[in-house]
Amino acid sequence: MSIKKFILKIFISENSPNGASDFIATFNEFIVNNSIKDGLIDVADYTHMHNGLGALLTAHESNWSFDEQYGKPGLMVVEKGFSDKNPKERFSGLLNEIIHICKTLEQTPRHSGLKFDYNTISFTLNDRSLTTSESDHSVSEVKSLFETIIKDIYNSTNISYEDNADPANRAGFSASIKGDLKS
Amino acid sequence: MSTTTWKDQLSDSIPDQIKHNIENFESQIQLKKQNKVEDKVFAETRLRLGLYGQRYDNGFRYDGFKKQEIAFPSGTITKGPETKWDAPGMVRIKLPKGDVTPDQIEVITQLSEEYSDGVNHITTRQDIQLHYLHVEDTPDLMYRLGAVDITTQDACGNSVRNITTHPSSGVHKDEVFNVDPYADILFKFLLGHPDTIEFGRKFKIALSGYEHEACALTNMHDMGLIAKEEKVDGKTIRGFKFVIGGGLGAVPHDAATLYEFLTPDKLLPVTQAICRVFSRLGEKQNRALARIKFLVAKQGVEKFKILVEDELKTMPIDPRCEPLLAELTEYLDSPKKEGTGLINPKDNSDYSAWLNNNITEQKQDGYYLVTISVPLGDLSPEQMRAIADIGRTHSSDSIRFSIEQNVVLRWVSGSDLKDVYNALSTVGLAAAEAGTISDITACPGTDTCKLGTSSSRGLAYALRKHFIANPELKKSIEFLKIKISGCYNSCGQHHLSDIGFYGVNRKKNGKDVPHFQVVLGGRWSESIGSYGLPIAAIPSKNVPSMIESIAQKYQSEKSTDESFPDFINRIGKAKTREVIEPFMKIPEFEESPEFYFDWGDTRQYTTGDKGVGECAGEIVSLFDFDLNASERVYFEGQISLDDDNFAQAREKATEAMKFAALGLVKVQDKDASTSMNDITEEFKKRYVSTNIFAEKFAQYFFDANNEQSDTIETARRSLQEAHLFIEEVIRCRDEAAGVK
Repeated sequence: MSIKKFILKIFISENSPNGASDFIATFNEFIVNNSIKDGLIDVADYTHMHNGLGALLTAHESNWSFDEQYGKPGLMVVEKGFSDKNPKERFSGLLNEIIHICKTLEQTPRHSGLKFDYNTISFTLNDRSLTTSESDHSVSEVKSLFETIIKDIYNSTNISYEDNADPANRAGFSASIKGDLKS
Repeated sequence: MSTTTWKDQLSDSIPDQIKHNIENFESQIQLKKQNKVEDKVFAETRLRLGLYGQRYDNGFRYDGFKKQEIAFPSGTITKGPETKWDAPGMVRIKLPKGDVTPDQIEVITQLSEEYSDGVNHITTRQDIQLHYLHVEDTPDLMYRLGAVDITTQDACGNSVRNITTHPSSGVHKDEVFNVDPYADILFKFLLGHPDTIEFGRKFKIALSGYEHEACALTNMHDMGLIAKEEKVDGKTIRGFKFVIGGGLGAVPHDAATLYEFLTPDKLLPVTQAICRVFSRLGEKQNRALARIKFLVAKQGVEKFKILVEDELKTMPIDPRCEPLLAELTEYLDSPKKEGTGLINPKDNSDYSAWLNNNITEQKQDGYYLVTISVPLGDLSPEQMRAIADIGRTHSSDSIRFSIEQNVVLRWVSGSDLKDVYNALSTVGLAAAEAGTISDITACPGTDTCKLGTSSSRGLAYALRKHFIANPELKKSIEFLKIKISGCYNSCGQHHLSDIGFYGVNRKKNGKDVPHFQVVLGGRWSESIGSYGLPIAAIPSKNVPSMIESIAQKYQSEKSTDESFPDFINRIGKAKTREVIEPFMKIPEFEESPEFYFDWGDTRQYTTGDKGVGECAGEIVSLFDFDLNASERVYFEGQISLDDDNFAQAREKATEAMKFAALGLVKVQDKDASTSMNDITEEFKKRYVSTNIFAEKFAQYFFDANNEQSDTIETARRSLQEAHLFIEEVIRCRDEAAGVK
């Protein structure tokens, strides 16, 4: 797999009481407590933006946000391509990580009521240096990898794809998974 | 990963000079990672390419209780003094006049998505800033900007910064003439100009089309030009009132008039002469006194003018002046459609309010300026693309970012306004707020700036919400302006507004409490008729209540049609302070802990995260730049040797020696020619014939082109000789400077 920069997003099904604002405090706690992952740097408040980035948690290898772009709020991770791990390991690691963080958020008292929709995962290639055929090839590779990883995470391997879900016309897909997360 | 680089893909589209600068920077990055470039040289190089550090780039972040170390993987590698290599930074994209096309907007948006956090921030000088970038991503970013004719060069550091004009230039009813073409030639002339390399501080230029309104705020710039016409022998000729030495900073200075009327043919030479005087005589050690305003104040404007006139007589004529002047055109962007009058329903609808507030008639019948009020100057990718689409369909291709951190569309036909409104509504940009109390200007402050003391953006957002929650208050002071800076350095231009704030700190029982200094009565009109008065510092959390109080006093005691600045001036500082005093009190922590947290921050407030600012750049001499170029090219030669490209390795060795020799020649003559023959002659005359430079090493330079063969041996020997030559150059310079 040749991709280095990509985006994963899991959308919410029920929102946190105060929307993106709640995440400013939570993200700061992640930094203070060094919880969820290493290399966290800072929190930025973009809650003033209409359908914007909401709350942003920056780290060296990736940016995390409670993102509200295009009116579809959810937890988004932007992989920057600095990791030493190979792209397969990185993709697999990040997918597990985003699910883990969603679960952590759902269990945080401040976000009482927050629920994520684990049956839909959005993937976007965030690298416009790729040619169209390189992008298409990368997306196919990601789908194959996805199908390999999914069986360790979900009780089902029934996946369907909707391609080119990104409004900015980057290659990608929205994967619909029928089945629950393994406990 | 792509098999071709952005540089390869776009090479043919990028102007050579821009491409060359980026290539040099790429080499510098590699050298810096090997610790082969001095911190301050790399820092000034990247600053001159628009790359600033951000808060926490020293590797520490206060978490509310203690300083926490941020574990950047790059270890001890730095990109400047106390600036970790992997720490996120900011790029300032230089946009002369704040002018962008829809296609340029698309590229900038793509860059924000791929290298930054997706947020496109409009600055108070009409640039776009992207935050949270990695320095190693920036060459690709610059190539992609270069391909659409945008540069980041001289956006930061001790350079000529972005040149600003009002977004209505060319279409304003009261302008004397369109100043945009003059801004364009000034930009081209000054970009990377050798006479701007040795500035001790930044240099800001603005042009106004008319004098008596807040146009481009020329009075507060290092150099300002105000359009003027005079009758000479019965003919009306164009020119400029030329002002010098204005500035905000901690203490505002009004610009002084250098020339009452300067004709366009003198514009570029006079500007160049001013740059040379500033380079030569401007303060370099004490950064706090290094702006040109201090030099002008110290000399007096008349004596400064004599210095400029003397410089004009002796400086070499820049051959680019005439062709650039010849390029001056009456170019004006043009509409997509025929102009028609607008139809205002004049009801209570949001659309009607938007028409009343955000639309201005152009001097061209049937066309309107649309001001898009952008909260905190931040645009998402969706919003950027919507603006670009509107530009393609409904306005001209010249979309402008304003110093009030808004967007201005030009040439919108009256019949298109409803469609424009609807398109803006879908992306949350149709608020009827332009120029109102809710249209608050705020610098980045403690969000990302190392100098920020209190959260300017946090306060701006809090006030916006406060006005939404209190519509009567908003209505009572609707057309007052608020500007907020995170510290005293005035990046938010707090001196210029009716109500201004700048961040300060106070303590209560040993605990830090975020405060803002209240500055009242700045006169935005008359192109900054006067600056606001600092009154008192109040806790940040008391600002909304204080505004309510001052608004109430203003409404109840003002005379008919009395402006806010006139009112403040009339009642005086003492009475104004009486209104503010009740809000100065700091409650005990146990009583109101929220006062000890800044707006938008869940960490207990501290000033411990303040770092060393990079706005002042680094002082790097011409010699240092040439030496740096020499070492960079030498490094490239070693790469060529490793790639078995022996001919190129030898060429690079020769070129490295040429840069080093040039650097040494310029120590004695800063206007030295850069041709190889001239460098060789001057070097020989000044350093070899005088026995300053060891002849043995000099011979390497003189004999460099005698070798005919390109083998691994000759290439290796050329590089070794170049290395020894460079070392001797450094020795000579150090000896001349008394460095042991």
